[in-house]
Parts: sequence; C-alpha cells; structure tokens
Amino acid sequence: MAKGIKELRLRIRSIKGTKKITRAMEMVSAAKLRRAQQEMNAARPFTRKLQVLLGRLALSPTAQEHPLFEVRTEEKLPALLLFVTSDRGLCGGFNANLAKAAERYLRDKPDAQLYCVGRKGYEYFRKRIPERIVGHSLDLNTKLDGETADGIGNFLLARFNDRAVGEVDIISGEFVSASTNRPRRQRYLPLEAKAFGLSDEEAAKPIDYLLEPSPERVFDALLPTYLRSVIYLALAESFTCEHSSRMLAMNAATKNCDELGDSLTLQMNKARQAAITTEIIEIVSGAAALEG
Amino acid sequence: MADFRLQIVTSQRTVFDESVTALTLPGESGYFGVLANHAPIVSVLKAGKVTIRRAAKEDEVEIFGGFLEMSNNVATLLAEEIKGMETVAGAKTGKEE
Repeated sequence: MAKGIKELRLRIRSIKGTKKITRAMEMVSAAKLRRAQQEMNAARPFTRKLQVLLGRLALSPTAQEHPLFEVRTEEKLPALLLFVTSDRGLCGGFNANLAKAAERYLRDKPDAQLYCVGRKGYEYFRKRIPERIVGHSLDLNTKLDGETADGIGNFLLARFNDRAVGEVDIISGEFVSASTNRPRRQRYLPLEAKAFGLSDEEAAKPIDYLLEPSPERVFDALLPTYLRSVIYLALAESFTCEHSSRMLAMNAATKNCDELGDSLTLQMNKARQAAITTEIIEIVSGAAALEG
Repeated sequence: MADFRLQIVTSQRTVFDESVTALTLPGESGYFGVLANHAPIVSVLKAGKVTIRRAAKEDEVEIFGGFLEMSNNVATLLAEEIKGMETVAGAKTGKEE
C-alpha cells in the first residue's frame, strides 16, 4: 500500500475540516451576493434616468461645447484607467481576468496612468509599474458608500478638467448572471453623445426641453452627478461580481473536498482490509505450520 | 384637477412612484410649481423643501440639491439624498421584494 492507514486517516480529517470552511464561505458569499445584487439593481434607475435624460440633451449645441464632451486627441495627453478589483482573494479567476484586461489596455495605451480600487489590482501593479499609479482606494470590503464613489469620481473629473489626462476609461467586472461575469472596459471621459444609448425612436423626435436656470448651468450640474453615479454603479456591480465569483469558487472547492475525501476513504479501506487479510494469512499459515 | 405621475429616484433606489396633482420645488432661481401638462422642462434644484400635493393631502420632503425632469406628464425628481420620505403615503421602503 502506498500509505499507512494512520496518515490516510489524518488527511481525511484535515480535508473534512477544509470542506467545512469552504462550505461556510460559500454560504456567506451567497448571502452577500443577494444583498449586493439588490443594491446594484436598486441603484440602476438613478443612473439610467440620468443617462436617458443626457441622451436627449446631448445633441444640443450647449452640450457639444461642454468641456466634458471635448475629444483631446491632438494634445497627446496620457490616458487614465480606473481599475476596479476586489480587496480579498479566494474568488476564482475574477481578479486575474481583470488584470489580463488591464494589461491589454496598457498595451494599447502605453503611457496610461492608473487609479486602483481594491487591494488585489493595486498590489498587482504596484509590483510592476508603481510609478504609473496616481491614486488608489483600498479596503472598501464590498461596502458601498456614496462618499467613496464621489471621491473617486471627483478625482477623475479633476484630472480630466486639469488637462492632466486626455481620456478616462474604466475596467471593472460586468455582472452577467450569478454564475457568469467578465471584465468590461468602458469609456468614462470625454463623454460621447452616442454612448447614452438613446433609441432611434427617441432620437427621431427630440423633446424641446426648457432648461432652468440656464442650459450651461443644467449641464454643469447634471454631468458630474451622472459621472459620480456611474462610479457608484460600477462599484456596486464589481462587488456583486466578487461575491458571485467567490461563491462559485467555494462551491467548486467543496466539491473537490468531497471527491478527494471519497478517494482517500477508499484507499484507506483498501489498506485496512489488506492489513486484516495479511494478519489472517499469517495466523492460518502459522496454524498450518504447527499441524504440519 | 388633472394628475400626473411623479417618480422620485435617489442614487440608492426608487423611493416614490405615484400619481400626484401638484408639486412645489426649490429651483436655483426660486421655488416654482408644476402642474399636469407642464411643458417639457429640466431644472436644477438646490437644497430645500419639496411639496407633493395629492387630492386630499400635502406632503413635504427635504432634498439637498437634485434635478427635475418632466415630459409627457411624467415628472422625475432625481436627488442624491432625500429626507422625510418615511411619512409619505405610498413611499417605497426598499424592504419589499
């Protein structure tokens, strides 16, 4: 036999312990996922309403002249990437996939700066290109709060307004379903009128809004609010993805524990039976020798 | 009097979606009222009190800046934060699913 019975028994016990932990983590993640998903869905209407409204307004001349719509290709300004990952591991390939997407982005835009949300992404790039990281928000621990989102939004907006960067993009998790998520890259700044997802039907008959107190004032107030809400929603979605990834990873780990436990138990039983058989043979042959 | 639909949406969730008769809002250049069939409008709001009038009663809530959008007899009040919603009949608590 490959291993002694005692060693096998020890391993089985340790795997049972591991299984208890992964099972518990799976259930905790499932509960957190439900809450995060609710928060994400509840936060959607605000951003969606602003998006529809901006879609209707974006074609007006005042909007087109607004600095946040300004495309700055000719100035050769660096890009800025908001990179959203999780603070903790044990969530399968979630962070690795995001890091891959970010690497791809950096190949496209070699001079890009980074703003990292989440410890995993921050540590990934701090080892490789620390000089590019211009800011970070760590240890949010999947708790949503408006202030953090506003802080990040205001930082990005200030960099763009100061002409320190020419464009801002976001790479974060996109929640497809409880069992699927993938990295998503989205343009943040400058704003694009077509990105507001206005249906053709609506575009055909624009609504002639009164803008109070003035068109400029409406855009100055509306655009930053919209941009902050986009960050808030991106964080909400990323947290939802993190919990669903962890739930799946822990589910797989629990299954592996089961399989490993079964095969080790089988091995142990074989070893035990072999030992008993050997003993019997010894006794029988001993008795036969005496009679002989 | 004719009614129109009012939706109140905060950055966290939708808190109100009911039919109302009249609204008074804190516009940046002063309080203004909105009735049914108002022309399409987008207005920036400052911090202040929003009065919601329905058939027999009047409710008052507090906002800290926001926007009003109205078109086709649907008014949407977008406010990052809102206070006093608990006492308004028909308000969504966010607990029901």
